[in-house]
Amino acid sequence: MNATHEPLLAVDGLTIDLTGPGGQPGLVQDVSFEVHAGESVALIGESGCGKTMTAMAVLGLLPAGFRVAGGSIRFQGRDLLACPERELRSVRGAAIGAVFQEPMSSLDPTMRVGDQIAEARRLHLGEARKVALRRARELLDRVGIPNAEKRLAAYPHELSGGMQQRVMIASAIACDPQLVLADEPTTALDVTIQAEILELLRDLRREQGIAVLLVTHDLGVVADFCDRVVAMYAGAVVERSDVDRLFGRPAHPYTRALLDAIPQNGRPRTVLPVIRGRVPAAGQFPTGCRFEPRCAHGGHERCLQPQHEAVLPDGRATRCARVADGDLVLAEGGAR
Amino acid sequence: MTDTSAHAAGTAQQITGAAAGSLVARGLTKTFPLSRNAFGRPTSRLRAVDGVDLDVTAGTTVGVVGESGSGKTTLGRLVSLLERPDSGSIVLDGRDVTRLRGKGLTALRPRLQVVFQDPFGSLDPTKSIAHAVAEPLLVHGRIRRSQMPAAAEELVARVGLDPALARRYPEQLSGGQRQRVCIARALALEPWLLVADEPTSALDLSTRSEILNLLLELQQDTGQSILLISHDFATVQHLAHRVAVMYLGRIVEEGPTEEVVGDPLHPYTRALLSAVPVPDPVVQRTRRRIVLHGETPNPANPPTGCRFRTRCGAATPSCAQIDPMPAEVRPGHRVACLLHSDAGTPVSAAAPD
Amino acid sequence: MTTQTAPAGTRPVTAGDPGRRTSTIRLLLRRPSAAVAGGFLLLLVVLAVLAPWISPYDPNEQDLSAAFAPYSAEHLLGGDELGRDVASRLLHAIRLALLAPLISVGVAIVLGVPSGLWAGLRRGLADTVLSRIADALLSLPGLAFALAIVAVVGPGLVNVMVALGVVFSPTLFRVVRGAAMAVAEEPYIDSSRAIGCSTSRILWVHVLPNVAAPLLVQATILMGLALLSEAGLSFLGLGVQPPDSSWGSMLRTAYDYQFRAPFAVLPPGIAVVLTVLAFNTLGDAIRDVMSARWRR
Repeated sequence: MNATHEPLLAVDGLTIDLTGPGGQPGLVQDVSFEVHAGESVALIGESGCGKTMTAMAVLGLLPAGFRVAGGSIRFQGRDLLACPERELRSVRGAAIGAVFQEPMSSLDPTMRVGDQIAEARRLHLGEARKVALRRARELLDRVGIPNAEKRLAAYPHELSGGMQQRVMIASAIACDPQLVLADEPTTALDVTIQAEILELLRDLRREQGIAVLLVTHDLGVVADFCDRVVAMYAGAVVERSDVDRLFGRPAHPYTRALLDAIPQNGRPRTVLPVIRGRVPAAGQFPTGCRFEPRCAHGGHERCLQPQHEAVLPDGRATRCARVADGDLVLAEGGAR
Repeated sequence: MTDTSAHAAGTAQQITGAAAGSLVARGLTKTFPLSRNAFGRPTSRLRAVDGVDLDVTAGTTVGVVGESGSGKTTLGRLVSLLERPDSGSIVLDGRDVTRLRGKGLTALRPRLQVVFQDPFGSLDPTKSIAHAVAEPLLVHGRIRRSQMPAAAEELVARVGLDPALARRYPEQLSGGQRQRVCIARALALEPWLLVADEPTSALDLSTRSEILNLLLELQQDTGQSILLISHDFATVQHLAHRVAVMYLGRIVEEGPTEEVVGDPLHPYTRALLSAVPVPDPVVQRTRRRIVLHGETPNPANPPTGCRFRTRCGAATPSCAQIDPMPAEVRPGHRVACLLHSDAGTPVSAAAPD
Repeated sequence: MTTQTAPAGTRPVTAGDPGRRTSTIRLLLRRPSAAVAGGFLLLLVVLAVLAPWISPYDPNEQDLSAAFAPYSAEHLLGGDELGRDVASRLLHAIRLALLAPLISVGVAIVLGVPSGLWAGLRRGLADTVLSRIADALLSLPGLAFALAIVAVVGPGLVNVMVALGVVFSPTLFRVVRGAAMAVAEEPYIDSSRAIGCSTSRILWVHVLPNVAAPLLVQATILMGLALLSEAGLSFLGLGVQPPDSSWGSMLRTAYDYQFRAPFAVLPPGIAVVLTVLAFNTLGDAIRDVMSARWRR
């Protein structure tokens, strides 16, 4: 892996607790990964895996009841967790842009679209309103919204879902960030619109060298868009790999099972492998491997001990002790 | 399955050859008022479903694929008689059921059952699982209230759940379990057709395969006919024998799943398939996406002639003059496109643009 | 217009809770405010039932030597203008204080709930007609309308409470209609239609339990309001007729003789305040518990 320079974003040992009754210490446990300048990294997993919480922690937007209990989030060398809120605010929106899933609820319905995009520039760069609006118009053009001049004055509800998401992207890149954090940006969109949004993000990456941290559960989007993948399950990173090898040579039973569960073109109307059981509820995480109760290869005593991340010789990282030892060899190839 | 119907808009057709154990829908249309004037009369209407023919033969699964605004959900509601079509006919086993009301409609309900998209909202939160799955039997007088718990346990077991779950309430079940319960509820009356509207969209990846397997099992073990509505080609490919692709209220292409997916004829089908990312980065890198120009047209005001022409890369001037009709281009494979057949209704000369 | 996939990635853990399902009553009792309010009302019920046995004097027994007697060991809350024991009168009036709101809220429920359910689910002409009637009733000043009814049918507690029930019913209609409209959008209502439930079954079995929360809250508020209205009307002399007494009529006499016994307003006044407070607190707690439960 290309690690000749300092990573843009380095999350190291991040641990988040859910406090209160029914809480879970270590809801997100010991999460580490890096994003280098210009690359796109996927944070994948199903609901409850902690990927959104991790992303919120990077932005400093953890909801009430969630508390960072350990680890660091270094962005451009600075530990965001140690920053006071004022400093964080200057980073958030300027150096890190954010795109969320539901554009309709992420955009202020009472504010014109142009003003919302301009807001970031006025706040962070101190630009005057006219100047900021001019830049907003350029941005609308850049993200592929026709009639940009007229659209500046539009309200969010006057735009379609795809257009709203483009507006979100425009406001995320308004201050020329180095990193865009996108949380399920295309889940709520039609597949043709999704393809266009992903293409837009790809173009922005190519032109402006923006790195993208994409939080998603859609493996197709990951295969299409991302360079590297961080797979999470029940609050822990189970595998880190580049995208080709994640799909071709998964290094964790969970990733292997996930790939197998995708219906594939080649074999219609055949029974799909199923991951039995279900995601453990918060407060009931096993102390050993969190995936073990559902794992096809579980039951070993190694599995009952707390699992730590191990780096394999070829650079992939896995949290399965048996795979790291070479004791367990997973099947290769795409979904079987 | 190989009827080609040249339908004038909205008139009922003599249904020929409707075999026993089949559902034949012709010319289905459903509009919704978008805005009303001061007197409450609609001033603009949304044609959600605009002249759709559909056939389901016993024991097969038919998939309906489309994006938002395609009308696929409305079509599902029409076929399951949750909504009444403005025009057109639905013939079930040779009997026209389109205009049934009241007792006649209630008596027919057991034959057409629905599984909805949202497993969280599809179950009454104040009722136990046992009540949910056995209620259909109670409503139709097939069991007495005292027999509900026993019937419920059996139904719940049939979809692969622990019978003890019947005593629980929806809030205590996971999404996958709830969806199974919804399927059990729909199967209680042993319907002829199961309409499944996005049955896996709201579920996690690892749970989707469970539900797909369950539907597959139903199909193969009991010969259940299924109408599967989805925006996800992978789901439809996995289960459906035939697939119909919808765009702005019309079916643009329809045929055996392998054919439609392997060699799509209609430009929209091709664009749609090219936009679906394949979960294999090596393959995905080599694919080229067909770019659609512009935005989806306003469904209340679709383009004249072919609805897809404003976004189609292969549109010709005649596409604005003629509204293409589905025509059988290969055995069992129909396409509504001037590139493949001449079938269509000319637009009246007075129509602008 | 996007009706696409639900956000499977952003929901909180949806593994479901396989633990025991705590009943609503138990959840309610865990809240201190609800426990206190509920306990107080329960106490009132017990006192009302036991009043004939535990009240120190007959409530109508006059003893002019004790007229306007101050608080003392003999008369815990003093004596009223005719020397009757205030504490006993207070106790005996509890029955009315509980019955009166029940009558009026009962009438309001009978008039407002079925119509609200129907209007909310079915919409259309029935909804338009019923809503206009409700609007018309709501636009009339409540107490004045009740007075008008009483003027026609004559004074008396039951008449007054029924009149109040009619006045309250459009509020319940509105609340139930609004909640029913929201419930009608839920997929499980569609599901009920799909399996062949009749409209009346859907209303009673599926809609009503799911609108119970706002309905109960509104009903408890109306109970308090009914009590206050009864007190007001009895104060005007239109409700309870002598020799029966309610807290309202006790307030009346306390008002009449306020210069001779300024503290006479306290017992009935505090009783009314506490009871109305108890109703409202209970309603708040019900709302909190039920909305937390049904939130997905």
